[in-house]
Amino acid sequence: MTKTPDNIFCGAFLDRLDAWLAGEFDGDHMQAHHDSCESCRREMRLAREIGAIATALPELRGPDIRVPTAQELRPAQSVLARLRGTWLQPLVLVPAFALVLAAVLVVQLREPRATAIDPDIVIIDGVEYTREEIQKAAADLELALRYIDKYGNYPAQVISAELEESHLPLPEPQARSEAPPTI
Amino acid sequence: MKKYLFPFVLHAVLGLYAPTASAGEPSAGTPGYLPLDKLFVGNQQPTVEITLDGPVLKMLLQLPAQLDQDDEDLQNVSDMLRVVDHIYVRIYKVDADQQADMLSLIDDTSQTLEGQDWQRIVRVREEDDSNVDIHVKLSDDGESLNGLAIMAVEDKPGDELEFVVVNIVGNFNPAYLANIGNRMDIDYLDGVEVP
Repeated sequence: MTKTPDNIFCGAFLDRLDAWLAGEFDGDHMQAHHDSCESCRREMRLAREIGAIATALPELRGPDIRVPTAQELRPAQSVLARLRGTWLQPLVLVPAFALVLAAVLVVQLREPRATAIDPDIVIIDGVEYTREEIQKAAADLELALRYIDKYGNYPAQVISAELEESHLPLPEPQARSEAPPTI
Repeated sequence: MKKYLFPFVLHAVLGLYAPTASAGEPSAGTPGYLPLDKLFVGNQQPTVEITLDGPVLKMLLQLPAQLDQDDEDLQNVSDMLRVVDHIYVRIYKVDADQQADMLSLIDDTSQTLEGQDWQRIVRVREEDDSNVDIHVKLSDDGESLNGLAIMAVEDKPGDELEFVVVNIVGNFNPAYLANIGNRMDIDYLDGVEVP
Protein backbone atom coordinates (compact mmCIF):
# COMPACT_ATOMS: atom_id res chain seq x y z
CA MET A 1 0.00 0.00 0.00
CA THR A 2 1.62 3.24 -1.18
CA LYS A 3 0.93 6.65 0.27
CA THR A 4 1.65 9.29 -2.25
CA PRO A 5 2.70 12.83 -1.38
CA ASP A 6 -0.89 14.01 -1.82
CA ASN A 7 -1.53 12.04 1.33
CA ILE A 8 -3.82 9.36 -0.17
CA PHE A 9 -3.26 5.64 -0.20
CA CYS A 10 -3.78 3.39 -3.24
CA GLY A 11 -6.62 1.60 -1.47
CA ALA A 12 -8.56 4.82 -0.96
CA PHE A 13 -7.89 5.78 -4.56
CA LEU A 14 -9.25 2.50 -5.90
CA ASP A 15 -12.28 2.68 -3.62
CA ARG A 16 -13.18 6.08 -4.97
CA LEU A 17 -12.11 5.38 -8.56
CA ASP A 18 -15.55 4.45 -9.98
CA ALA A 19 -17.16 7.50 -8.44
CA TRP A 20 -14.34 9.76 -9.63
CA LEU A 21 -14.56 8.39 -13.17
CA ALA A 22 -18.30 8.95 -13.08
CA GLY A 23 -17.59 12.61 -12.26
CA GLU A 24 -19.31 12.48 -8.99
CA PHE A 25 -16.63 14.65 -7.35
CA ASP A 26 -13.72 16.77 -8.40
CA GLY A 27 -10.77 15.55 -6.39
CA ASP A 28 -7.35 17.09 -6.82
CA HIS A 29 -5.84 14.57 -4.48
CA MET A 30 -7.22 11.75 -6.73
CA GLN A 31 -5.54 13.34 -9.77
CA ALA A 32 -2.31 13.82 -7.84
CA HIS A 33 -2.24 10.17 -6.74
CA HIS A 34 -3.00 9.06 -10.29
CA ASP A 35 -0.12 11.07 -11.65
CA SER A 36 2.33 9.76 -9.13
CA CYS A 37 1.28 6.05 -8.87
CA GLU A 38 1.96 3.79 -11.80
CA SER A 39 -0.06 0.91 -10.37
CA CYS A 40 -3.18 2.99 -9.87
CA ARG A 41 -2.85 4.50 -13.33
CA ARG A 42 -2.88 0.93 -14.71
CA GLU A 43 -5.99 0.13 -12.64
CA MET A 44 -7.67 3.28 -13.85
CA ARG A 45 -6.97 2.43 -17.52
CA LEU A 46 -8.38 -0.99 -17.00
CA ALA A 47 -11.46 0.45 -15.37
CA ARG A 48 -11.99 2.82 -18.26
CA GLU A 49 -11.61 0.04 -20.82
CA ILE A 50 -14.12 -2.09 -18.98
CA GLY A 51 -16.46 0.86 -18.79
CA ALA A 52 -16.11 1.49 -22.52
CA ILE A 53 -16.86 -2.14 -23.30
CA ALA A 54 -19.87 -2.14 -21.04
CA THR A 55 -21.17 1.01 -22.67
CA ALA A 56 -20.80 -0.54 -26.13
CA LEU A 57 -22.88 -3.63 -25.20
CA PRO A 58 -26.65 -3.47 -25.66
CA GLU A 59 -28.63 -2.77 -22.64
CA LEU A 60 -29.40 -5.93 -20.73
CA ARG A 61 -32.82 -6.37 -19.18
CA GLY A 62 -33.08 -8.53 -16.20
CA PRO A 63 -35.99 -10.85 -15.58
CA ASP A 64 -39.15 -9.34 -14.24
CA ILE A 65 -39.33 -10.08 -10.64
CA ARG A 66 -42.91 -10.98 -9.77
CA VAL A 67 -43.97 -11.19 -6.22
CA PRO A 68 -46.08 -14.32 -5.73
CA THR A 69 -49.58 -13.81 -4.50
CA ALA A 70 -50.85 -15.27 -1.31
CA GLN A 71 -52.80 -17.91 -3.23
CA GLU A 72 -49.60 -19.06 -4.87
CA LEU A 73 -47.83 -19.29 -1.60
CA ARG A 74 -49.47 -22.64 -0.79
CA PRO A 75 -47.66 -25.47 0.90
CA ALA A 76 -45.81 -27.88 -1.37
CA GLN A 77 -48.15 -30.45 -3.11
CA SER A 78 -47.79 -34.16 -2.58
CA VAL A 79 -46.50 -36.44 -5.32
CA LEU A 80 -49.99 -37.86 -5.89
CA ALA A 81 -51.49 -34.42 -6.17
CA ARG A 82 -48.82 -33.33 -8.62
CA LEU A 83 -49.43 -36.47 -10.72
CA ARG A 84 -53.15 -35.81 -10.68
CA GLY A 85 -52.58 -32.28 -11.70
CA THR A 86 -50.35 -33.39 -14.49
CA TRP A 87 -52.93 -35.90 -15.82
CA LEU A 88 -55.69 -33.33 -15.65
CA GLN A 89 -53.90 -31.07 -18.08
CA PRO A 90 -55.74 -31.11 -21.44
CA LEU A 91 -52.59 -31.79 -23.41
CA VAL A 92 -52.08 -34.96 -21.41
CA LEU A 93 -55.64 -36.01 -20.64
CA VAL A 94 -57.10 -35.88 -24.18
CA PRO A 95 -54.41 -37.99 -25.92
CA ALA A 96 -54.43 -40.43 -23.01
CA PHE A 97 -58.22 -40.82 -23.22
CA ALA A 98 -58.03 -41.31 -26.98
CA LEU A 99 -55.37 -43.96 -26.54
CA VAL A 100 -57.42 -45.86 -23.97
CA LEU A 101 -60.53 -45.63 -26.17
CA ALA A 102 -58.62 -46.95 -29.17
CA ALA A 103 -57.29 -49.86 -27.12
CA VAL A 104 -60.80 -50.77 -25.92
CA LEU A 105 -62.17 -50.62 -29.46
CA VAL A 106 -59.40 -52.84 -30.78
CA VAL A 107 -60.08 -55.44 -28.11
CA GLN A 108 -63.82 -55.33 -28.77
CA LEU A 109 -63.38 -55.68 -32.51
CA ARG A 110 -61.03 -58.59 -32.16
CA GLU A 111 -63.36 -60.59 -29.93
CA PRO A 112 -65.29 -63.29 -31.85
CA ARG A 113 -68.97 -62.42 -31.94
CA ALA A 114 -72.03 -63.96 -33.60
CA THR A 115 -73.08 -61.64 -36.38
CA ALA A 116 -75.19 -61.97 -39.46
CA ILE A 117 -72.10 -62.03 -41.63
CA ASP A 118 -70.38 -64.72 -39.62
CA PRO A 119 -70.07 -67.65 -42.01
CA ASP A 120 -70.87 -70.16 -39.27
CA ILE A 121 -74.02 -68.51 -38.00
CA VAL A 122 -76.79 -66.79 -39.91
CA ILE A 123 -79.39 -64.73 -38.11
CA ILE A 124 -82.75 -64.37 -39.82
CA ASP A 125 -85.56 -62.58 -38.04
CA GLY A 126 -83.72 -62.98 -34.77
CA VAL A 127 -83.31 -66.75 -35.12
CA GLU A 128 -79.80 -68.15 -35.29
CA TYR A 129 -79.08 -70.92 -37.75
CA THR A 130 -75.80 -72.78 -37.69
CA ARG A 131 -74.03 -73.93 -40.79
CA GLU A 132 -75.09 -77.52 -40.05
CA GLU A 133 -78.75 -76.52 -39.67
CA ILE A 134 -78.68 -74.63 -42.95
CA GLN A 135 -77.04 -77.50 -44.79
CA LYS A 136 -79.54 -79.98 -43.35
CA ALA A 137 -82.49 -77.77 -44.27
CA ALA A 138 -81.17 -77.36 -47.81
CA ALA A 139 -80.63 -81.11 -48.14
CA ASP A 140 -84.13 -81.78 -46.77
CA LEU A 141 -85.63 -79.33 -49.23
CA GLU A 142 -83.77 -80.88 -52.11
CA LEU A 143 -84.98 -84.35 -51.13
CA ALA A 144 -88.55 -83.10 -50.67
CA LEU A 145 -88.44 -81.46 -54.09
CA ARG A 146 -87.30 -84.70 -55.64
CA TYR A 147 -90.33 -86.51 -54.26
CA ILE A 148 -92.64 -83.64 -55.23
CA ASP A 149 -91.20 -83.69 -58.72
CA LYS A 150 -91.46 -87.45 -58.89
CA TYR A 151 -95.11 -87.62 -57.94
CA GLY A 152 -95.98 -84.24 -59.38
CA ASN A 153 -95.44 -85.88 -62.73
CA TYR A 154 -98.66 -87.81 -62.26
CA PRO A 155 -100.96 -84.77 -62.31
CA ALA A 156 -99.17 -83.66 -65.44
CA GLN A 157 -99.80 -87.06 -67.02
CA VAL A 158 -103.44 -86.95 -66.03
CA ILE A 159 -104.01 -83.46 -67.37
CA SER A 160 -102.13 -84.20 -70.56
CA ALA A 161 -104.17 -87.34 -71.03
CA GLU A 162 -107.37 -85.37 -70.57
CA LEU A 163 -106.19 -82.75 -73.03
CA GLU A 164 -105.42 -85.44 -75.60
CA GLU A 165 -108.70 -87.11 -74.93
CA SER A 166 -110.65 -83.92 -75.42
CA HIS A 167 -109.07 -83.28 -78.82
CA LEU A 168 -108.96 -86.80 -80.20
CA PRO A 169 -111.65 -89.32 -81.01
CA LEU A 170 -112.47 -91.64 -78.19
CA PRO A 171 -110.12 -94.59 -78.36
CA GLU A 172 -111.25 -98.14 -78.52
CA PRO A 173 -111.93 -99.79 -75.16
CA GLN A 174 -108.77 -101.89 -75.52
CA ALA A 175 -106.73 -98.75 -76.14
CA ARG A 176 -108.31 -96.98 -73.15
CA SER A 177 -107.10 -99.71 -70.90
CA GLU A 178 -103.56 -98.89 -71.95
CA ALA A 179 -103.97 -95.17 -71.50
CA PRO A 180 -102.11 -93.37 -68.73
CA PRO A 181 -103.72 -93.73 -65.35
CA THR A 182 -106.58 -91.38 -64.72
CA ILE A 183 -108.41 -90.09 -61.74
CA MET B 1 -103.29 -106.79 -36.17
CA LYS B 2 -102.60 -103.98 -38.59
CA LYS B 3 -106.22 -103.84 -39.59
CA TYR B 4 -107.06 -102.95 -36.04
CA LEU B 5 -104.73 -100.00 -36.31
CA PHE B 6 -106.45 -98.50 -39.31
CA PRO B 7 -109.36 -96.86 -37.46
CA PHE B 8 -106.85 -95.28 -35.10
CA VAL B 9 -104.69 -94.22 -37.99
CA LEU B 10 -107.68 -92.73 -39.78
CA HIS B 11 -108.78 -90.88 -36.70
CA ALA B 12 -105.26 -89.57 -36.29
CA VAL B 13 -105.03 -88.48 -39.90
CA LEU B 14 -108.34 -86.71 -39.66
CA GLY B 15 -107.29 -84.91 -36.56
CA LEU B 16 -109.79 -86.56 -34.25
CA TYR B 17 -106.96 -86.99 -31.80
CA ALA B 18 -105.57 -83.68 -30.73
CA PRO B 19 -101.94 -83.55 -31.79
CA THR B 20 -99.31 -82.16 -29.49
CA ALA B 21 -98.35 -79.36 -31.80
CA SER B 22 -95.20 -77.51 -31.01
CA ALA B 23 -94.58 -73.86 -31.70
CA GLY B 24 -94.82 -73.15 -35.41
CA GLU B 25 -96.38 -76.51 -36.15
CA PRO B 26 -99.86 -76.35 -37.62
CA SER B 27 -102.72 -77.79 -35.64
CA ALA B 28 -104.99 -80.53 -36.87
CA GLY B 29 -107.50 -77.91 -37.87
CA THR B 30 -105.13 -76.11 -40.20
CA PRO B 31 -106.51 -76.41 -43.74
CA GLY B 32 -104.39 -78.68 -45.86
CA TYR B 33 -102.48 -80.18 -42.96
CA LEU B 34 -102.27 -83.89 -42.26
CA PRO B 35 -100.85 -85.06 -38.94
CA LEU B 36 -98.56 -87.52 -40.65
CA ASP B 37 -96.68 -88.43 -37.53
CA LYS B 38 -99.79 -90.29 -36.35
CA LEU B 39 -99.85 -92.61 -39.34
CA PHE B 40 -97.84 -95.36 -37.81
CA VAL B 41 -98.28 -94.71 -34.12
CA GLY B 42 -96.98 -97.63 -32.15
CA ASN B 43 -96.08 -99.51 -35.27
CA GLN B 44 -93.17 -98.16 -37.28
CA GLN B 45 -90.94 -95.17 -37.48
CA PRO B 46 -90.19 -93.43 -40.76
CA THR B 47 -86.78 -93.97 -42.29
CA VAL B 48 -86.86 -90.48 -43.77
CA GLU B 49 -88.51 -87.66 -41.91
CA ILE B 50 -88.43 -84.18 -43.40
CA THR B 51 -90.17 -81.30 -41.69
CA LEU B 52 -89.70 -77.87 -43.22
CA ASP B 53 -91.90 -75.32 -41.56
CA GLY B 54 -92.28 -71.57 -41.75
CA PRO B 55 -89.07 -70.21 -40.21
CA VAL B 56 -86.83 -72.77 -41.94
CA LEU B 57 -88.52 -72.21 -45.29
CA LYS B 58 -88.10 -68.49 -44.83
CA MET B 59 -84.45 -69.02 -44.01
CA LEU B 60 -84.00 -71.13 -47.14
CA LEU B 61 -85.75 -68.47 -49.19
CA GLN B 62 -83.20 -65.95 -48.04
CA LEU B 63 -80.29 -68.25 -48.73
CA PRO B 64 -80.71 -69.18 -52.37
CA ALA B 65 -77.01 -69.86 -52.67
CA GLN B 66 -77.47 -72.82 -50.34
CA LEU B 67 -79.57 -74.60 -52.93
CA ASP B 68 -77.71 -76.62 -55.50
CA GLN B 69 -79.91 -75.53 -58.40
CA ASP B 70 -79.34 -73.72 -61.63
CA ASP B 71 -80.94 -70.31 -61.99
CA GLU B 72 -84.23 -71.44 -63.57
CA ASP B 73 -84.86 -74.15 -61.02
CA LEU B 74 -83.82 -71.80 -58.26
CA GLN B 75 -86.49 -69.34 -59.37
CA ASN B 76 -89.11 -72.10 -59.32
CA VAL B 77 -88.04 -73.18 -55.88
CA SER B 78 -88.07 -69.60 -54.62
CA ASP B 79 -91.57 -69.12 -56.01
CA MET B 80 -92.74 -72.23 -54.24
CA LEU B 81 -91.11 -71.29 -50.94
CA ARG B 82 -92.93 -67.95 -50.97
CA VAL B 83 -96.35 -69.58 -50.97
CA VAL B 84 -95.72 -72.70 -48.93
CA ASP B 85 -95.88 -72.74 -45.15
CA HIS B 86 -95.00 -76.35 -44.39
CA ILE B 87 -93.48 -79.29 -46.24
CA TYR B 88 -93.61 -82.73 -44.68
CA VAL B 89 -92.14 -85.91 -46.12
CA ARG B 90 -92.30 -89.28 -44.40
CA ILE B 91 -90.86 -92.41 -45.95
CA TYR B 92 -91.39 -95.85 -44.45
CA LYS B 93 -89.70 -99.07 -45.44
CA VAL B 94 -92.17 -101.92 -45.21
CA ASP B 95 -92.07 -105.56 -46.16
CA ALA B 96 -93.41 -106.56 -49.53
CA ASP B 97 -96.09 -108.68 -47.93
CA GLN B 98 -97.57 -105.51 -46.43
CA GLN B 99 -98.46 -104.04 -49.80
CA ALA B 100 -102.13 -104.87 -49.44
CA ASP B 101 -102.21 -103.25 -46.03
CA MET B 102 -100.56 -100.10 -47.39
CA LEU B 103 -102.97 -99.88 -50.29
CA SER B 104 -105.85 -100.40 -47.92
CA LEU B 105 -104.49 -97.63 -45.73
CA ILE B 106 -104.25 -95.30 -48.70
CA ASP B 107 -107.78 -96.17 -49.88
CA ASP B 108 -109.36 -95.69 -46.49
CA THR B 109 -107.50 -92.45 -45.89
CA SER B 110 -108.42 -91.17 -49.34
CA GLN B 111 -112.09 -91.86 -48.77
CA THR B 112 -112.02 -90.08 -45.46
CA LEU B 113 -110.16 -87.11 -46.91
CA GLU B 114 -112.70 -86.81 -49.69
CA GLY B 115 -115.34 -86.66 -47.00
CA GLN B 116 -113.53 -83.61 -45.66
CA ASP B 117 -113.58 -81.66 -48.90
CA TRP B 118 -110.25 -82.89 -50.15
CA GLN B 119 -110.30 -83.64 -53.84
CA ARG B 120 -108.47 -86.56 -55.27
CA ILE B 121 -106.79 -85.55 -58.52
CA VAL B 122 -104.66 -88.64 -59.07
CA ARG B 123 -105.24 -92.30 -58.45
CA VAL B 124 -102.78 -94.77 -59.89
CA ARG B 125 -102.95 -98.48 -59.28
CA GLU B 126 -100.35 -100.51 -61.13
CA GLU B 127 -99.47 -104.04 -60.20
CA ASP B 128 -95.82 -104.47 -59.31
CA ASP B 129 -95.21 -100.77 -59.75
CA SER B 130 -96.32 -97.45 -58.39
CA ASN B 131 -99.55 -96.88 -56.50
CA VAL B 132 -100.23 -93.22 -55.95
CA ASP B 133 -103.06 -91.10 -54.59
CA ILE B 134 -102.81 -87.32 -54.72
CA HIS B 135 -105.33 -85.07 -53.00
CA VAL B 136 -105.65 -81.32 -52.92
CA LYS B 137 -107.45 -79.17 -50.41
CA LEU B 138 -109.00 -76.11 -51.97
CA SER B 139 -109.26 -72.85 -50.06
CA ASP B 140 -112.67 -71.61 -48.97
CA ASP B 141 -112.96 -69.32 -51.98
CA GLY B 142 -111.80 -72.10 -54.27
CA GLU B 143 -109.17 -69.87 -55.83
CA SER B 144 -106.11 -71.50 -54.38
CA LEU B 145 -104.89 -74.64 -52.66
CA ASN B 146 -104.36 -74.95 -48.94
CA GLY B 147 -102.92 -78.44 -49.09
CA LEU B 148 -101.44 -81.11 -51.28
CA ALA B 149 -101.21 -84.69 -50.05
CA ILE B 150 -99.32 -87.43 -51.80
CA MET B 151 -99.52 -91.04 -50.67
CA ALA B 152 -97.58 -93.61 -52.65
CA VAL B 153 -96.39 -97.17 -52.38
CA GLU B 154 -93.58 -98.29 -54.60
CA ASP B 155 -91.70 -101.50 -55.05
CA LYS B 156 -88.06 -101.38 -54.18
CA PRO B 157 -85.25 -103.79 -54.97
CA GLY B 158 -85.53 -106.82 -52.75
CA ASP B 159 -88.62 -107.65 -50.79
CA GLU B 160 -89.20 -104.11 -49.65
CA LEU B 161 -91.77 -101.47 -50.30
CA GLU B 162 -91.41 -97.75 -49.90
CA PHE B 163 -94.42 -95.99 -48.49
CA VAL B 164 -94.15 -92.25 -49.15
CA VAL B 165 -96.34 -89.56 -47.66
CA VAL B 166 -95.89 -85.92 -48.68
CA ASN B 167 -97.93 -83.04 -47.34
CA ILE B 168 -97.55 -79.45 -48.50
CA VAL B 169 -99.43 -76.79 -46.57
CA GLY B 170 -99.81 -73.19 -47.59
CA ASN B 171 -101.87 -71.00 -49.82
CA PHE B 172 -100.68 -71.58 -53.32
CA ASN B 173 -102.17 -71.20 -56.72
CA PRO B 174 -103.41 -74.25 -58.66
CA ALA B 175 -100.90 -73.19 -61.28
CA TYR B 176 -98.35 -74.59 -58.85
CA LEU B 177 -99.03 -77.91 -60.55
CA ALA B 178 -97.97 -76.23 -63.74
CA ASN B 179 -94.74 -75.18 -62.07
CA ILE B 180 -94.12 -78.77 -61.16
CA GLY B 181 -94.89 -79.72 -64.72
CA ASN B 182 -92.43 -77.14 -66.02
CA ARG B 183 -89.71 -78.63 -63.89
CA MET B 184 -90.59 -81.97 -65.43
CA ASP B 185 -90.63 -80.49 -68.95
CA ILE B 186 -94.34 -81.17 -69.45
CA ASP B 187 -95.27 -78.90 -72.31
CA TYR B 188 -99.01 -79.34 -71.86
CA LEU B 189 -99.02 -77.25 -68.73
CA ASP B 190 -97.07 -74.30 -70.07
CA GLY B 191 -100.24 -72.59 -71.26
CA VAL B 192 -101.89 -72.59 -67.86
CA GLU B 193 -102.49 -68.99 -66.93
CA VAL B 194 -101.81 -67.71 -63.47
CA PRO B 195 -104.75 -65.53 -62.32
